[in-house]
Amino acid sequence: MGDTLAAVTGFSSGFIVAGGVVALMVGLGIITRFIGILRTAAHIRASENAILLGTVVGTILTVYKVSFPIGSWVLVIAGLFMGVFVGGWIMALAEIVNVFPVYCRRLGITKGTSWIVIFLAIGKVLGSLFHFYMRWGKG
Amino acid sequence: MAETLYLKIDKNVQVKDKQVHLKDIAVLSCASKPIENKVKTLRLPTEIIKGPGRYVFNIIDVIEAIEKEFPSLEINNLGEADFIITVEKPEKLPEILSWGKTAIVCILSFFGAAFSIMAFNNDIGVTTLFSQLYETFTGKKSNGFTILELSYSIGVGLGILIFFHHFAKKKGGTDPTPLEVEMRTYEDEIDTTIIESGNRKEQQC
Repeated sequence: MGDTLAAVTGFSSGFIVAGGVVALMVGLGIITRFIGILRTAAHIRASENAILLGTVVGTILTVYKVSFPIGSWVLVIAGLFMGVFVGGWIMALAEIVNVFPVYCRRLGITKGTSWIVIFLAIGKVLGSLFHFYMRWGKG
Repeated sequence: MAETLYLKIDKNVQVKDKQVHLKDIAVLSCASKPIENKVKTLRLPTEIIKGPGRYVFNIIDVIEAIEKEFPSLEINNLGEADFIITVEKPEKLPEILSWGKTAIVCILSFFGAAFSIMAFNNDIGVTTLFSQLYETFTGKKSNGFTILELSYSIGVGLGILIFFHHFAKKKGGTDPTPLEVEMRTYEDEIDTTIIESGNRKEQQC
């Protein structure tokens, strides 16, 4: 009886959370943006499959804490792509509230707006490296 | 037979002077060229314009002004019903000053971005998750600053540049960058708001 209830709860939670996660990713328009930039809209099904696969693998890794000793080369690739995704994610969040158009207009920025993006990117890289190097955020 | 005048005005037109002629703000076309040229030199009723700023106009005002001179002319509006005339400030900022402002925003973005990525990493517990991932894939204990953190940090910067389509070649054929699209969308929304709140004020009086 208890197991059945647990199974129903688990299945229902997963069902709802999956909707939330996918809605967040698609709603923010990160994936559509990357698809648009790389012009791979013709193979949109492949992207959907990748989202599905990634979500399932991520769930298994965190829930079951499985050991998967392939080597640190996986981490280089995984880390890089995770970073690219997070970079797009935080910019999408900033875009929802129109941070850049509002500031550009308020301050009357007309020259060299592309430099703002470059400095933003450098700031993110150095800030992130500093944060990890100082071992902040542990516990 | 009555001539037809076609008239198109954009949502937001920029002018330099307080005296606005129709040719400054509108695209006009008429089968009879003499009428077209005369209409082009007509003055808009611009009593409400006082110095630089944004002023909401109604197409009816324009049509009335034309009809006063050419009562038999048939007028066909192909543009907006309401439009904004932006009277620009005559003096322009010197080059150095506007680059200086950009420099300030760059510094602001730099430190703001550094702060917000640290807050973000703290908030969603990236550090803990990364040491879990490190242990999963290598079997060794993470010292907190491994290859994973390094490649992630570089990836964040790369992601931003890709997201803003930063190194796309500036050619006629390519799409505008997302920042340019956002900027246009935002300006369009501002114009709509100005027009609609202008209409609301008129109704209240």
